[in-house]
Amino acid sequence: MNSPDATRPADPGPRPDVDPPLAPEPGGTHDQAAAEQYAHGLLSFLLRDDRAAQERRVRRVMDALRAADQPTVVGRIGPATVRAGRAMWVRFASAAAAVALIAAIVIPLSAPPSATAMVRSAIDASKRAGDRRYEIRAMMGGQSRPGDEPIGVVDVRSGDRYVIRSRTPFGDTVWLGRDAQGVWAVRPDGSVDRFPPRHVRPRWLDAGESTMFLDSVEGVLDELAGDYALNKADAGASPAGGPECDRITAVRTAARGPQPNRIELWIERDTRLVRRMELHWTDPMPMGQGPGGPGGLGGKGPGRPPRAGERGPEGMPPPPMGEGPKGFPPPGPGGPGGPGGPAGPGKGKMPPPDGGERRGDGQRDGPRGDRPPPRFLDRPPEFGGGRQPPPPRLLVFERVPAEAMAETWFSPEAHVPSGAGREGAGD
Amino acid sequence: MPHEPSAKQVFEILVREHADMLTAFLRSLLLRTSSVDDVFQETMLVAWRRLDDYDRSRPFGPWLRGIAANLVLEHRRKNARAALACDPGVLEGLDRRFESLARAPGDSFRDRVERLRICMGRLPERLREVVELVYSRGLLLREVAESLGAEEEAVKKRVQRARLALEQCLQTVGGDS
Repeated sequence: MNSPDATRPADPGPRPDVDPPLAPEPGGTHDQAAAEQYAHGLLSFLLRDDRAAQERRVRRVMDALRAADQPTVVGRIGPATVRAGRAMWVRFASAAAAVALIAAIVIPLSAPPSATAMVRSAIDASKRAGDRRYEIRAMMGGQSRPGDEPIGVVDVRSGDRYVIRSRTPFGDTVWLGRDAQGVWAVRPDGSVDRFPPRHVRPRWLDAGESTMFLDSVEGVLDELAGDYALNKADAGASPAGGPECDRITAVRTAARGPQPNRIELWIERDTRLVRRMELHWTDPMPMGQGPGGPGGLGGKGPGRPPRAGERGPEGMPPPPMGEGPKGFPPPGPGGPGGPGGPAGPGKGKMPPPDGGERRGDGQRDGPRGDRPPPRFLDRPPEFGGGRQPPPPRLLVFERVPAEAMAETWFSPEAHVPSGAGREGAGD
Repeated sequence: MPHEPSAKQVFEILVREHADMLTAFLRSLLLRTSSVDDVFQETMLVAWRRLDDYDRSRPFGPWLRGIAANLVLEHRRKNARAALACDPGVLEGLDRRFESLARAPGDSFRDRVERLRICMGRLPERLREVVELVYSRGLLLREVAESLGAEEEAVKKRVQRARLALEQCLQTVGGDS
């Protein structure tokens, strides 16, 4: 069978020879006609339509909506104007041609950059920038704002080195990074996995009650141009403060998938670096219907059913991070372990001994008990089918001050807890 | 605080979420791709204008199909040959089938429609080949008849039987019932 996207025939238009009848055939029923038209519609959609055509339809709708917002200028031209216009046309046309030529040269230089150009400049800027740190905060189902304490930290160097430390709801800490040899991960037990360059890099962590998305800011930016519709939004500072930023809203073009439905970017005007990035798994489906994407508004659609022992609809708030931002090694030149020294199970990292129960605010204080340890997924998660727990409703990456980091900081050895550590299978 | 999406951003997500379903629905009712494109756009624009009327406690897909069905009827009044059967009984049967498809397993509408390929694989060879020639390769019935050495009317009957068999199969594969 041909792929629906390959060598598709041109639309043949009406096909009276094969199109279903305009009404139930003699002796036929409405239901039979509906069945035939239903199959005809699905076959036509599956074998004649492709994603590019669908994207054009969506663009056309959104362009029409945007155009409806634009003010229109309506002029009136009377007969006298037309006569005078004819007489002036030759002279005017010459002048207009000159203006058009100048405009063609000048406008590209002076026009504000497009959203795509802004993202590209942010990617370029990140390659030239020094060491940076982003704190990650999460908003889980039932929460109206992200938690105060970060659930993770991303340290980035020049776009090609990064270290992500994340703490799961049950107190496990995982590390994910990239050094000169490629992508690596340190599991909670200290084992190290390395992933070959052409291997799908791990970005999703099944943490038991939620699936965490772990990637550097640059990793997300790289995918924006291909997978999202980019639009500029009103400029402004990050909600957390800081300098004036250009704003971009990216809406996922694929109808479904594990990636965030929407991404909001704040790009600093002076440095072109991403100041803040919000990943929204916002499912706008109204309550009680639709695919009911994980973490969606309402979220009562046929999404993943609650698992045994799972908390109710309020979901899973972000875990405390022990010491919070201070619990991470402070940025700055450190010893072999990088800024602030090796990252062992330090103070505030382990859950309290009373374990396992949620606090009044819904946060989980205890260890995961006999639940399986967090694991990196070797393929994108499937939320709707119930194979993986839902992601947070929102992840916020916010840039915070950082000092220079040691090269070793970006290697897994710096993050293997003392007394542990072995090379994993690399999956 | 998280950035609140604008109404249009949320609506764009809704449009993308339901675009495939709406396209297939319109393909069931309209002959020309240009008509499908026009009614698709008009349906979404009407939905946007009437969003305040939409009861959020009810599914969005059927509401959208209701708008689309009215627009198809209007389209048909303007061009009698532009649409397929628009009898209320047929529309009801169609809507019921799309609704059951929405409940079938799969992360997306396209995922669920992909089950049609399984059903195509189960068709008898003589039915499967006409479906492939007509829908995948876009041949006219006359051309199919010539290539198969069969009568055109016989090929037409095969296409009809194939469509009905596929519809029956979809009810059993993956729970579309």
